[in-house]
Amino acid sequence: MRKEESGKKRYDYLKLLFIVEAVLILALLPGCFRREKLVYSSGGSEISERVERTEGQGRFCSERFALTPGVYQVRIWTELSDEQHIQAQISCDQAGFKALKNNVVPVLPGNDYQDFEVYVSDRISAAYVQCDFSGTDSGGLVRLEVWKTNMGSRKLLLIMAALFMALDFLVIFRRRILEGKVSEKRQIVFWGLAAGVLTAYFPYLTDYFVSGYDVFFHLSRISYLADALKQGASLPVRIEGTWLYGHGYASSAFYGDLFLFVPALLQLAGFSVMGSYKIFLLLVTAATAYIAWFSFQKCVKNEYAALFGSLVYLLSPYRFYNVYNRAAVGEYLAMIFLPLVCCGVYLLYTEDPASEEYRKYKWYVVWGMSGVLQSHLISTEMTALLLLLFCAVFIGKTLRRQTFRQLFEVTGLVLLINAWFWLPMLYMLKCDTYQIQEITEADMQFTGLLFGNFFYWVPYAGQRYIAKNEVWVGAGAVLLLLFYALWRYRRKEKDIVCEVSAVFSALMLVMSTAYFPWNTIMKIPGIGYIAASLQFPWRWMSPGTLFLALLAVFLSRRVMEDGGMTARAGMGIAAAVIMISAVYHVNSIAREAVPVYLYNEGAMGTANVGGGEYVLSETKISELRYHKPVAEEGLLWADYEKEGTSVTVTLENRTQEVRYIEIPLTGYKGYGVTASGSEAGLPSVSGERGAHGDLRLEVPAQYQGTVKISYQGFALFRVAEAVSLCSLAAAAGMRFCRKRKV
Amino acid sequence: MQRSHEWKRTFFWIAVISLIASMPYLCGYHFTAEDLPELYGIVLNTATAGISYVCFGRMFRNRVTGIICSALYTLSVYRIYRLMVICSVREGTAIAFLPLVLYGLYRIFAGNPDEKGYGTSWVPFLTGTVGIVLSHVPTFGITVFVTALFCAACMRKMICRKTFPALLKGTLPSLAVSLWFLVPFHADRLVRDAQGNRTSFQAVQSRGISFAQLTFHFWTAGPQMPGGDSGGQYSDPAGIGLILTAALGIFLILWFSGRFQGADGENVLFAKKTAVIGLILLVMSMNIFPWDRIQAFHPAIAALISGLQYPYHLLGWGTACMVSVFGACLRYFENSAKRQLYWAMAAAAVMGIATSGMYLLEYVSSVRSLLSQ
Repeated sequence: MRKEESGKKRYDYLKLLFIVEAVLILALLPGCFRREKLVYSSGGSEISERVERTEGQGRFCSERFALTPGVYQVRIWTELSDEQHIQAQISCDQAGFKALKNNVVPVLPGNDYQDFEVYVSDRISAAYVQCDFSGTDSGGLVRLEVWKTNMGSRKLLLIMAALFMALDFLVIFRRRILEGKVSEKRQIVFWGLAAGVLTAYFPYLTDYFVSGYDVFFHLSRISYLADALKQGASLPVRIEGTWLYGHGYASSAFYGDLFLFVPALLQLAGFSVMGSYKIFLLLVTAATAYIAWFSFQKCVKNEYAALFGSLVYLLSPYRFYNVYNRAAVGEYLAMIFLPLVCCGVYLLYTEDPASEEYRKYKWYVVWGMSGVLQSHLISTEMTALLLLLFCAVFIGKTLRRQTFRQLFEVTGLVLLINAWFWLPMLYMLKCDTYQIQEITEADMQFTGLLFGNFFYWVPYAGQRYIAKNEVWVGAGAVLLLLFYALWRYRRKEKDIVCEVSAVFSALMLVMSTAYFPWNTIMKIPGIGYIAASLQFPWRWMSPGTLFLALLAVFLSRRVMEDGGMTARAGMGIAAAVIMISAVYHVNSIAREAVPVYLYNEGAMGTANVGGGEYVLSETKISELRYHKPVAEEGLLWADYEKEGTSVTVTLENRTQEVRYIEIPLTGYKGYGVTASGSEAGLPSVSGERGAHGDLRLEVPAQYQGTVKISYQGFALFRVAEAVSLCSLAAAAGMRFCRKRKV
Repeated sequence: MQRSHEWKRTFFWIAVISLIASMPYLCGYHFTAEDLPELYGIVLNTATAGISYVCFGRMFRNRVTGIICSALYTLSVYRIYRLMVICSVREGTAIAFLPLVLYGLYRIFAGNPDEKGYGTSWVPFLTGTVGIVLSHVPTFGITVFVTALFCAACMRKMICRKTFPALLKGTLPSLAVSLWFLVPFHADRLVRDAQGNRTSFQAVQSRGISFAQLTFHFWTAGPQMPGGDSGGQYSDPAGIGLILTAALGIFLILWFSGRFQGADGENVLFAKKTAVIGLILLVMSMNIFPWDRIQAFHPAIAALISGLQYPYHLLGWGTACMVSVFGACLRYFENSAKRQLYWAMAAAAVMGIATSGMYLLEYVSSVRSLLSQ
């Protein structure tokens, strides 16, 4: 009776909590739809009157205005000559610690409009806009406005919703623990994974972030994806228009950005560039931990062994290197899904093909491979090659009727579900020439690892980017391999999974060294091209780390089940080395990391394209600048408006001949023109591109009208998208039907 | 002038330190100027280890736990940083007395008022506070704040017939004993304020540390103070380290999972309060704590907080609380069915000390040997 009463009370308490949370969320909701409010504006002579000129430089400081907590947007209209530029920011006389957050944003010539966000966390009584001119002439600054947006309310709502979800989870989790519904093993797994995630995320438990080698490329991908969404680009986004001084870059067409929608949407919700990336990385770390544990648990069916393996994977030096030193977003995203692929393949090859469950296992490979494909193409290549190798090694099992059928279905499903991405990508690669096709690695082998790298006790590189020879697998992992060799020597019976994991991990380590004949392989026609596309041999450490984790999983289970004290001690030492090494590694990164405070995308510049792999072969990035359309003589243009990859312009060809106009958009194939009529014919995209690969329009003689140019892609793209949607719908439908049958 | 200045330094800080350090002179032993701090360091380290061993050993009624807690406390990152890197002998001395105060609070609030020994429960508290006030006034201020937090957390106990007098016995004599020092000290401050020599307002939030800095394990002493826009790059080791943070995490998980239900009564209750107060101190040492907003309330509050200078000064007490929490975890495992976890945690502490404390000490000694060259 008492128990029932207390249960009821607890239920009421939970209900009350939910009601309070719902009320608070509802109270915050109207703020998200509040109209923008003009806080300050200035223009014309007001600006020139307030400019102070000292030592050949002009500085404009606006009148003081108060800012309350929220997210603001500064909008600047300029008319700058070629030599001019402005550096704008909001400053304040006095404010609390980090109460005002924004970066200096450069406004470059040719760019008539620039906006940037300002994040205010405490009341500021005297803020002002500061613009520094490259010379004393302030005429280029036409107008500026400061608006209070509703992004602050959206951000607050999202934070509160996340906090409430976490609180609810903890309350329910605790209740279930106290009711005895969560086993002790599961509790330890939960807290173990949480501790692992915190350790792996350690360098970001700060108010700044670490600038890895490729970080600005990936931050640009995220920010410009957010821009494209804001500009109403159609989905899936193929080209983001903010890149390369507004010319656009086909990053999304060649580099899967499905998962980047998370940070991009966070940016749209009001988080800064840095904030959204850090939250995204936390989610990625948590997903890596959980998916690794889930996959290993499915294979080994032992919670502690799966926990150990997932921690080995999560805290591996190579993953840290990808996250913090290289900021290789694609590769660390792909690492989330590798265990899932591994799990599916393991189950397909070890479980009874006659069982009812057997047909379900392919889905792990399908979702895993799809995740890898949407994250990183090089990882996809490596995974596919390894799968082929695995199938060949276990040819007997591969050719079993059911197994072969499942593998065939996997291939088909992966191709169908992801057709919207890979088919347009291949088509674009075929119909044009890009710089990626002209990059040839002459010597790939020299970037391979040296034998000594495997025995580094504790990885120490801070946040430095090391291009060659200094990447680690960690001494703990090598110790694990040695321990297994010793174990195997002492024991007569073999564990086939341990055996395969050990052999494959050793193979991956060898392939990542400078001793593996990569340069010779690169000379083999066909294969050479695939090998060269890997860029660095040490990328094989990504699957190598996975196999080491798998070895840790199965070996620890064996040791737990039938290992003596010595074996347990040996395993414990290897585990301790792995953990201490991981703590040291994240400590060294945090200690050496140069703090970067990046709030605005405008502060990054737009040319962070790395090697510019997806730029057209004729484009020279160094020549690109913001500019207006360039028309031939006799062709007049007016009312030019550009929003991302969409341009509207009114054209008048006063001549009797065809005239050309170059639009400041990278001339990727797939741009379409919609024009208002004229009897003389309609403008179209020219087959030849303009200067530095700009899009060129052919305007018929005597044409007069308004033209809208936008990226439309090809009919094949629509077909591929439809195939993907139908495949997904069919998969969901089949699953639903199967569930109903059950 | 020089003499006057020297007198002032003595007047402000050197009360206990000078007494102990001048003992050898008084006894007729004449050491060189270099030897004296070394000798004082040995005495201080021994005293810290001894006091913390006695206090934590008695709190957890286990000598091994006492030794582990004493090692964790004596070799704690923050203590080594203040004593060996900054050479803040005053704070280092005050830190030696913190376990005494904590043990005193434990005796007063977790002890059974009906037991015979309860009558002397105020003695450790009195001894500790007197030691602190004569060593380092800011630490004394923090001690007053921490005591107030404990009083607020143990409000029910406060109205108990025997507890309140015990607390008064510990507090009032400590103030009375320290009057000879505190009155001239504050009188001098008032005079300085009247002369316009007021301690200027200082925003402290920007000097707070980040969570990463707080839990840093492999410390080396960097060239800059932590905080502000410099982030944690090459910053000084102002933190409590990974082992103590992990202990707090384990304690909170055990609490969350309902493992303490019906276990060890008052001791667990006191450990919970210590964990919460310790957590508050850790949060207050970070730059996320809204010091700037609090300072904006009133000039007097602003001046008081300015006196703190660096929020991480709270970590002395934070360390003491977390060591106590570590001891509470050990006590829980000692009494639980899984006694091997007691030894696992003890081994983790030894490993933590070996990999963190010694790492930092190695750096300190290398710098010292460089300086001596």
